[in-house]
Amino acid sequence: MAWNFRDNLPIYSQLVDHLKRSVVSGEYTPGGKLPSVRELAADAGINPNTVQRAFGELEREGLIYTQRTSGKFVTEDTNKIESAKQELASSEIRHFLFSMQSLGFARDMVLTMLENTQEGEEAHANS
Amino acid sequence: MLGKLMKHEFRATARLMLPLYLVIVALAAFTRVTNWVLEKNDNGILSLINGLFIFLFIVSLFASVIFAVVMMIYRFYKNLMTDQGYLMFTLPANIHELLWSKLFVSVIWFIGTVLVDILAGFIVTYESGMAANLFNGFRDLFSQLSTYYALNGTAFVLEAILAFLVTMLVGCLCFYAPISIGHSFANHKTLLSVVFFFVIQFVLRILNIFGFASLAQSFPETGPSAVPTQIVTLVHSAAWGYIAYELILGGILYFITWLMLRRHLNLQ
Amino acid sequence: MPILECRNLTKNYGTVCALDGINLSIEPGRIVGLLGPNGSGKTTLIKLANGLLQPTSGEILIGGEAPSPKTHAIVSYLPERIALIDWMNVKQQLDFFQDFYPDFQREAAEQMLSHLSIPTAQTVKQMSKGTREKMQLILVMSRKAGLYLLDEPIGGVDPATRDYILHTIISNYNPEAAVIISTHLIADVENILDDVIFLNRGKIALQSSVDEIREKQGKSVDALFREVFKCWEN
Repeated sequence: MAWNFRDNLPIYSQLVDHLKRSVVSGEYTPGGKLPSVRELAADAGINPNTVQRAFGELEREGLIYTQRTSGKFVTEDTNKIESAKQELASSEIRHFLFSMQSLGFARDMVLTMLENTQEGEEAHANS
Repeated sequence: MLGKLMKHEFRATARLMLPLYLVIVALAAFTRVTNWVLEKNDNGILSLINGLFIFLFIVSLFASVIFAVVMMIYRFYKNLMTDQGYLMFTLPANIHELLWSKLFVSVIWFIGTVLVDILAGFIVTYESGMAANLFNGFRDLFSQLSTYYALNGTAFVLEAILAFLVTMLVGCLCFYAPISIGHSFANHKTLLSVVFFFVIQFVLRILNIFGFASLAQSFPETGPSAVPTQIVTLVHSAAWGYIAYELILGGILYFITWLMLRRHLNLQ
Repeated sequence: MPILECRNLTKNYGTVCALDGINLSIEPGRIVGLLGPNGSGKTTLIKLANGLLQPTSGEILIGGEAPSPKTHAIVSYLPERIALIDWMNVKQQLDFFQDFYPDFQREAAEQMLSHLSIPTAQTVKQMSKGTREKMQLILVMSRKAGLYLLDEPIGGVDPATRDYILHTIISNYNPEAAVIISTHLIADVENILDDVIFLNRGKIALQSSVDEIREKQGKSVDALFREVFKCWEN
């Protein structure tokens, strides 16, 4: 069954995002081999050219590299991966804050809600 | 490609023709057997059965010819003018190959049907020594003709065979052409095919009359007083004239068919 | 060189203009969606590419040549209708394709037949409509062609088969071949398309890559199509 993609963004950029998360979360291990273009395309139910483009983008950012006859691999440079992780995290936070703001919450209110949620989860875990 | 198309054409049509041939031969055999049984013991019921088989046998001879003709028409229509056309016209073969594969195979089945009918006839009527008698009879006829009338027997046979083949080819095209014209229209394809069939037949009849008239005109001397050599020349000229005439007609009908299929194909 | 090219291609049926001065160029390695409402000229364009119709004016070229038996050998065509020979069983159909098309890959076809659980002893006449559609698709996709012309490949089949068909198109992907998919079901195929061509009343209304549409218009091709071809007035 094909993956779900959102309608209003190019698929390749959504794929870039998805792949970055897989790298950052360790699903694709540093130095590990990535699925081939065709495999990934078939799996995700998308055009192989799209996968190619996404790979190209990631390679430009230095997260993956191509080894001539063996395929594509995740970088072993943990710094690169760490900074990608940070980038994704800041992006998430920005989106979250923007969302909350559009709901009408002020910044300090948001912080308070976060703390309360944290305490609530800890309490639940202890009981 | 032509070979492959013919192979495919045979496969498609043999599944209908071969069982028919089997039925004809079987009926012939049954007729023969009941004839023989009847000879031994005359009996009311046996007489009836025998009569029935004879009847069925004769019907099957006529039916076989009609069947071969109908199949030739239906095959062209089904394979090229219905949805199957989407497959056939996109093969790596040109229209000439598609047409000739059908023409060749249809003629071969016509010849086959005639041969099977003759064979069936022999099965029913054969008596010992018949083959030898027939063979001698033909040989005598040939030598008499050539001695007394200077008629070249082999040439005549050749002309007859050619005339027969050409007639069958044109016969097929008399159906292929109107079907291909009728189906080039968007609506009323079948109706128009039938209409064009009769239109073409009408035109052919008129041309035949002219052809015949001009043939008669070019041999004014033939009459009751004609010398045998003149008759022989007449026969040969008529044969070749006929063959040439049919070839021209066939050429025109073939061109029309090819043109319709190449430029005015209208598969729905 | 483009695998399919149209130069001012026009096709009239009597007084009706089905295609009006179409200019088009499709390179190998692209999967292209040919989209448009009924009567927009999609099927006419495909038939012209196959040589089933002749242009009224202009040209259509397959690998630089006009449609002919030679181009038929590199084009694999899936018609909208069922174009199978009804008395044949599965083996005979495979034999037929193998005989006429050197690029036919029998093992690939047999594998797909088993994936889709198609009983090999059945004749086409005995098959259900859905099975016939699958059969036809398997035969077409098993050829290693330069251009695949698929006219409504997923219209008549169930969603699981639809997925399988799209999956097959992706896995058969060959950078030297192009695939043209003519369809109404845009949302289903959008993810596998590189480019789309919108046809409307015989003219090209839009020609773009899917990425460009999403980036510039911020919506999917399916959404854009609905906008462009809205059936009712506000």
